[in-house]
Amino acid sequence: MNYLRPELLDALARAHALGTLSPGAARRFTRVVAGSAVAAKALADWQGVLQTLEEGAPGSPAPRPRVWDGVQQRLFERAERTPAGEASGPRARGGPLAGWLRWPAGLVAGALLSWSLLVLRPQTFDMEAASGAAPASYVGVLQDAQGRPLLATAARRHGSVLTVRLLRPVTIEPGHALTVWAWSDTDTTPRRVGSWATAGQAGTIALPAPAESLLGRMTHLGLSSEAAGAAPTSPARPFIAEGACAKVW
Amino acid sequence: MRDPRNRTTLRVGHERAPEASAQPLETMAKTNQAPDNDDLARWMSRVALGDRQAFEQLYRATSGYLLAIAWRVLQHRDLAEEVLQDAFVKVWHSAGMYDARLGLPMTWLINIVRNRAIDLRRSRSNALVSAHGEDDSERIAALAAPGAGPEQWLDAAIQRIGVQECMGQLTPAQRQALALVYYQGLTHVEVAQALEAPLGTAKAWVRRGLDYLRACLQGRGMAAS
Repeated sequence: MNYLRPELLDALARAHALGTLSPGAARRFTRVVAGSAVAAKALADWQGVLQTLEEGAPGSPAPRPRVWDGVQQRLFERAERTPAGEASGPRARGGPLAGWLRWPAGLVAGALLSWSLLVLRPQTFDMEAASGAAPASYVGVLQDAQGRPLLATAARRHGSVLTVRLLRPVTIEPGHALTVWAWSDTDTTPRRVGSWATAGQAGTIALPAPAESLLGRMTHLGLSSEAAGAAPTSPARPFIAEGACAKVW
Repeated sequence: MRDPRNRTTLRVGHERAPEASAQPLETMAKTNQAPDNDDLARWMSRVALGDRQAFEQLYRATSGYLLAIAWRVLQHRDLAEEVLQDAFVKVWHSAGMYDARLGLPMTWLINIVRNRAIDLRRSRSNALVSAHGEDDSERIAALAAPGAGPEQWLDAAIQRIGVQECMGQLTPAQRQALALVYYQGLTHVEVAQALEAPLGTAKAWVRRGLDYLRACLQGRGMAAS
């Protein structure tokens, strides 16, 4: 389908801005927008039209303090509790990472390690369940070229946030952000999951859709460094780390 | 007349919140300063670089305005605040993706909050129903009742942006359908149910309402042609 045909693009942009596209269509159109300036402009134009309707809408009281406290807690508190250990100086994506061939064996180890972390130390991911059982989640442990665990990820099965934790310091170029990608055995094209600020070792990535719909068919995760603010459709290669995306339930 | 998209008016005080709140009003601070879009753009660029102080300034300036948007979609304060919190976590991670060439920062922020609120509304419709103690059809019909908010909000918006004459060509049903979808995040199916119209008709009402709005704004130089 040619999404950029003017009539179709206008209709999709209008529906997407209004929020009436089905979740699947919305995800597809979001990908179109990420890769097309014309589509991004069409969507932004409709969003601007709709914003005028805010002129008549009622106000509300300010949010209660716990909202901001929660934002702070989710973004920064765990990061600040971890020891500062980021290495200094830019490290190129290639260099010492070239030539690694240890991932296949690492995938199994990573899945086991992620399962162990989730079950034995669920607080690592802020996921302690009241019942004591780990919640249904997608987890991953990504390893570097030497097969050393570098990044742990976890998202509740129906959650909208991917929690990430660097297990060792990673240095990236200024103006870049660490970005997680996912792909499956049957479709090996990596799909961008999201990026997070690297102020600390832990962070969260707000998912554009529930984890189930984004990661349900994915079997692999990759970590790359991308220009901050960019929404690339393909990752910078080689990956800084790679590992299995496992379902734990 | 200045373009209303270039201002961010915070409406508080005399207007009621979208839902009568269980919390005492004296616990709620009122937001009464309109953030300047230049300030917002500057804070956004700082947030993209990881500046926490700018992030807090952005939150302080916009959170009341954005909460109202989530609140009227979800009609539940706790859920609206949950959405607001999720939205600002996303803003922290995604501020670098904001492109000033495409629109104002407030437009970008509104869409993050509104989309998240609509997603939550649809995924938690059962929880909302139980919270209201009504079945879904009654709740949806109540939204379309005469004197309910969305129509009044649309009328107020049309007056404030000065397109009454142009938008006057819309039928009441078209206006009502547009108001329900935009302000409260109803699906086309829900609009059809609320207005007791065939689904195709409800979709056409919404589409025509939006096309009229855009044409009216374009006629006044307030939207891209």
